[in-house]
Amino acid sequence: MTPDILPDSHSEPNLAATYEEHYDLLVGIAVDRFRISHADAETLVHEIFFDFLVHAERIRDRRAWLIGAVYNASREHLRRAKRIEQLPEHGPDPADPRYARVAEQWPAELAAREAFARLTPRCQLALRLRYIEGHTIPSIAKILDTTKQYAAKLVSRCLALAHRRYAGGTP
Amino acid sequence: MIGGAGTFGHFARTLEAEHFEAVPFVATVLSDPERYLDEPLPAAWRTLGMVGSLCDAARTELVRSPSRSMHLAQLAAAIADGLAESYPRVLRAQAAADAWKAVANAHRFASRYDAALSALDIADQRIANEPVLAYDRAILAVARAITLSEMNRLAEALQIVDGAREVFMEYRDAQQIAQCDLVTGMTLHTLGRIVDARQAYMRVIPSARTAGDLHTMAAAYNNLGRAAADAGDLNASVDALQQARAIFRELNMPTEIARATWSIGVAELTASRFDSAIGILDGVRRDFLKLGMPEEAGLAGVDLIEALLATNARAAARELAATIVEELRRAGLNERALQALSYLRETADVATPALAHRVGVYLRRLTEKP
Repeated sequence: MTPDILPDSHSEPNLAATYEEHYDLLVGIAVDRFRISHADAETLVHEIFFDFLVHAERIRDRRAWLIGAVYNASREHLRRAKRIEQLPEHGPDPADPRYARVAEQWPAELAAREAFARLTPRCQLALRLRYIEGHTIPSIAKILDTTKQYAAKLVSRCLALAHRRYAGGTP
Repeated sequence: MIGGAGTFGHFARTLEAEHFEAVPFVATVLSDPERYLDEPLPAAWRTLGMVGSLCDAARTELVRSPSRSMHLAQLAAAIADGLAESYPRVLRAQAAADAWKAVANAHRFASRYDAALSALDIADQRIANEPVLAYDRAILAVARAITLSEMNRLAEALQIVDGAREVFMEYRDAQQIAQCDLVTGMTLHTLGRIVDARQAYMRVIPSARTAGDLHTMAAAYNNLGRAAADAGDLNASVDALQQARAIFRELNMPTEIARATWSIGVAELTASRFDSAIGILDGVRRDFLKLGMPEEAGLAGVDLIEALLATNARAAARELAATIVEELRRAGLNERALQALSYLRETADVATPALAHRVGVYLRRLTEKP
C-alpha cells in the first residue's frame, strides 16, 4: 500500500513496456488455467496493472509479482463467482425498482453529493462513519480520537451544516 | 479499462504528475495539519496523488508526533473516501485502504490499540470487494498482526502474519516476507520462545539483504542481539548488535546507532567485561546527550554506574549519579525516578552493582509507564 507512485526509475515508458510485455501472458493464465472468460480476464488484468502502478517502486521482480497477482485475483474471482446466481438467459428482465424515478432522484442526489463535498474533511469523516457505515457515536469517538460528547456534537453540527448546504445556504 | 500500453503509460504519467503537484500542498498542510481538517477541501487537493503524499507524510510524522500523523492520515482518509468516480474503482479502494491504514498506525503508535483495529477494519472493508487487491489485503494483515502482537494477543498475531507471508510468497516479494518474519520473531520473542524467535530473525536477514532493505536487516540484527542476550549467548549478542550498528551507520541513523551501542554495552556488562562496558557506556551516554536524549543518557548512565561499582570505582559512581540526577531534573523526569537516583548517589560508597541494576530496571519501568 505504499503510495509512492512512479519515481523516475519507474517512469512511463518503463511501465508501458512492462504492460506490453506481460499483458497477454497474464490474460492467458486467467483464461487457460482458471477457465475465466476472456472479457473477465482482461478486466482482472487491467485492474492488476492499476495496483501494480501503486506498488511499482518497491517491486523487485515485476514478472513474479504480476504472475502472483493474476493467480490470486483469478482464484478470488472464481470464489466470488460461485456466490453469484446467474439469471436465466431468456428469463424476464424487470427494471431495477431503484431506477423507477431516476429522473426525479438524480438532481437531488447530485445536490446532496455536492453539499457533502463542500463540508470540511472532519465533517465528511464523521458523517460517513455515522450515516453511511453505521458506526455508533462511541465508535466514531474512538476512531477519530475524541470524546463521545464531542463526537455527538460533531455529527449533529455537521449534519445541520450539510442540510443547510443542500438547501443552498451560505457555505 | 486501460486500453493498451499507450493508454496505460498515459495514465501512469497522470498519476505521477498528481504526485508532484501534491508536494507543495502537503508542505502547506504540514504547517498545521489539524487546521486543515476544519477547512473545506480545495478541489485541487482531491486527487490520488494528494492521498498518497499525505499518507507518506503521516508515516514520516509517526515517530515524531503520532497526533500530527493522525491529522494527516484523517485528511488523507477524507480525501480518499470522496475521490471522483473518474478514477478507477480499484485505485480509489486501494487509496482509501492505505489512508485508513495510516490512521491505524497513528493510533497504534499512541497505544490506542482498539482504535487501531477499528481503523484496520475500515481499511479492510474498503478493499473487500476487489479480487485483485490480495497484496494490499496482506499488507493490512501485517499491520493487524503488529497491532495484535503489541496488544499481547500473540497467537492471533502469529496466525495472521503466517497468512500474509503465504500471499507474499506467491508474489515472490522478499521484502514483505522479511517484514513478516520480523513480526513473527518479535511475537515469538514476547512469548518467550527465544530459540524460535532467533530462527525467525535469522530468516529475515537473507530476505532483507536480497530485497536491499537495510532498515529491516538492521532491525533483525538488533532484535537478534537482544534475543541472544536473553538466551545468555552474550558473544552472539554482541556480534549481532555490532552488525546492526554498522548498518545503522550506513543509513546515518544516529539515535539507532546509539541505542545499538547501548545494547552492546549492556551485553558486555552482563558478560562481566567491565572495562569494555565502561568505555562503551561512557561514550553512548555522551552520544545521547549530544542527540538531546537526556532520558536515555540517564538510563545508560545507571548501567555505567553498575559497571563502575563492579570495579569498585565508587567515587566516580557517586559523582556520575549526582550528574544524572541534575540532568534528569532539568529534563523534567518524574519525582519517583529522581528519588531512586538520589538514593543511588547517597549510597554509592556501600552500594552493590546489583542495587544499581535494580535501580536501572525500576527507572526503565517508570519511563515506559510514567
